[in-house]
Amino acid sequence: MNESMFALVDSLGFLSLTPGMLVMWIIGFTLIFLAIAKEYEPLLLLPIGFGILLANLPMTHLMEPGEGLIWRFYHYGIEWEVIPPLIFLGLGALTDFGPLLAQPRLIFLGAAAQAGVYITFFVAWAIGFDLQEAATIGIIGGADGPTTIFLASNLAPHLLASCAVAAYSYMAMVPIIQPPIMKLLTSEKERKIKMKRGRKVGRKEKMLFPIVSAVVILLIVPASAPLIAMFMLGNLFREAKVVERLSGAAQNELMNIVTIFLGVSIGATMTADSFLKKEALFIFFLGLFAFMISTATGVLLAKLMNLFTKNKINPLIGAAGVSAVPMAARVAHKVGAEADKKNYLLMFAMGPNIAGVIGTVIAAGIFLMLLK
Amino acid sequence: MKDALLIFMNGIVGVFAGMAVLYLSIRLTSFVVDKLESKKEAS
Repeated sequence: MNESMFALVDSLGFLSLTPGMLVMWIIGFTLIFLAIAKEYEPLLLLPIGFGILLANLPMTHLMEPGEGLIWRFYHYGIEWEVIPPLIFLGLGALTDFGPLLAQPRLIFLGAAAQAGVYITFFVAWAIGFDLQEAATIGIIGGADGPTTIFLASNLAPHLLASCAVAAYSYMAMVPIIQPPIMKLLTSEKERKIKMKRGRKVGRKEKMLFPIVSAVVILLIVPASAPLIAMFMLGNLFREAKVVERLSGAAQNELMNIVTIFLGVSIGATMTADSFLKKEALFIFFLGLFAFMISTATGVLLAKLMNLFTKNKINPLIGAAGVSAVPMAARVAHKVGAEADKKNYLLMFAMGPNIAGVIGTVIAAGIFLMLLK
Repeated sequence: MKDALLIFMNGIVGVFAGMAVLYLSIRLTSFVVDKLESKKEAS
């Protein structure tokens, strides 16, 4: 009788709680609060927050290698690199490349924003992270969650949770982080620049784009294949207009299902032992730095391009070169509208915004080619 | 130091080169599509 009582008491989770776990609960509750009350990236922060809570409840064995339920989601979904490419399939099906094809020069703003990725890589390496870790931290500046997860799972799996949460948190905070930098780097006159409409893009061209770009990008950066291949396939579903069901499934059902597994798995990797380290603090700081530099370099390249072009670019749309689709484009539009209410920048900003997604994947592919 | 600097340089140059090639391929595709369309209209 006594023995079974002791065994029962021993198996109570309460007795195995540690102060670190309680700190992680606070982090989990904060993310859940931000998702529900503030609606900051709720689709991800809510399952991530709940995953953190689950991972820090003792004796549940949910993340036990080989047997835990969430470990299986993590292992087969993320370690096997299945979920990020499936998210890209959905993103491709959701993306209209029209604004980019109408003004292809805007593609360079998406490239400029990747400077933040490489500058942060160098800074992270200089302060003591190894090359693989520094690359994983740098890619946060691309503001693309699936790409960050994809690169982290390949180069530095132990940093995956911190980097993913940093990336998604900063993506949610785009409206707070970007405007001061955009305003600092532009004059009132520049913010009022009205851009000329691009050319009209036909259906054939939109349909050819995913095929041509998949071939071109994969010939240049084969390591980016899992993401680019799925991204362009999703877009081909969309533009072909003959597989509406597949396009709809990729955009909705599939995307929603993998988002659940992604969020919970990422959250569940954030145990007190792995997360409460000074490295995590550095990662959050460097992630913010990367994001700020990416915003600045996008704006600065737009200004530079204006020195050589007749058809001026509103430099605010350069900030949309960080991926964070479509939030960064909306922010560019909003800051532009503050200077001139009649200036409608959203469609122009979508060009660099989409180019930013491609740019970040190329940057990740280059890291993989050089470091894996 | 050398490795990090090389990756830094190759990365920035690589992203811009990749995007430049993509830019050219977009231009080329639109040129070809426009030509085909105008030929079709003419006939």
